[in-house]
Amino acid sequence: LLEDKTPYLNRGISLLSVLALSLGLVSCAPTFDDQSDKEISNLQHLVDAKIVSLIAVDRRLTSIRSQASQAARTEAVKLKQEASYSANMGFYDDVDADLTSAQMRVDSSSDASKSNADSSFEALKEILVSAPAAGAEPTSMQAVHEAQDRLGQAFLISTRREVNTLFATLMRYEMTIRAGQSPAK
Amino acid sequence: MIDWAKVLGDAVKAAETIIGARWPSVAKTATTQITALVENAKFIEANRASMTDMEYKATKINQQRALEGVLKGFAAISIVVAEQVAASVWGVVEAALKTLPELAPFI
Repeated sequence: LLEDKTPYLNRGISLLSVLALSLGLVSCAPTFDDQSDKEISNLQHLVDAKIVSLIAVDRRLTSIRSQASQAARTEAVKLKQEASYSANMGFYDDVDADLTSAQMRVDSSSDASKSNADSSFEALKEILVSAPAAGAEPTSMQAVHEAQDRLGQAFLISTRREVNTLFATLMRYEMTIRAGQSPAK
Repeated sequence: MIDWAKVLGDAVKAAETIIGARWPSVAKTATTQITALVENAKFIEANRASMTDMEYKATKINQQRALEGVLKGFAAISIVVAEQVAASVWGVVEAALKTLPELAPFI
């Protein structure tokens, strides 16, 4: 009786091996989390709006620099205060907390893509809020802002482009999980 | 003078190497982001004079960090795509099993 069933048994074992392999891979696939998707979008908006606002302030300061009127001097004092590090510390605190929160939500799906997605979050932290190592020069937007008290337009524009490419990549990551298929081309 | 076309070509080649066989699934969108970063590198060099020394050094380092983060981000996306392909393979296997009643005693 056992001999009669051997071919079926072998086919069954082969198919079960394929099943086990497939199940193993499927269990690795991350599931879409609406909350982390929203957190990433909101954070991108928060960061982009702040950088755009700082660019506008710096442009205005540049344009009134040569004006000698009392009104221009008064406006310049107000704008310098708006652009100062102390006036923007709360923004950096929010970014730091929100980045950590979004990263933790993405990390909660334990899949093979996690460590690579983490690298995008780490890059955002380094560019936006990381404190310099002892003896090292400041490189994050926050550290440069603190050191200089103001940020120039060119630096802000460049930083905006750097962070937006990273946010776009993270958004594409979320869209790919949500779509359950290859990224749109 | 910097050959920006070569810089872009080298950056895309680096991305292909990192992502490997799954590169075609993300090639178009990844190339868009890599191109944006190479354009930014051009912007940094063109506007060097209007930055402080600290800003220039910082944004050059951050440019490298952004490129690395984007490349690894697309590696993550390519892994998700591979996992989703595995998920659809599982669906095919499951459907095939249902058509083989003689295997019922073994599953």
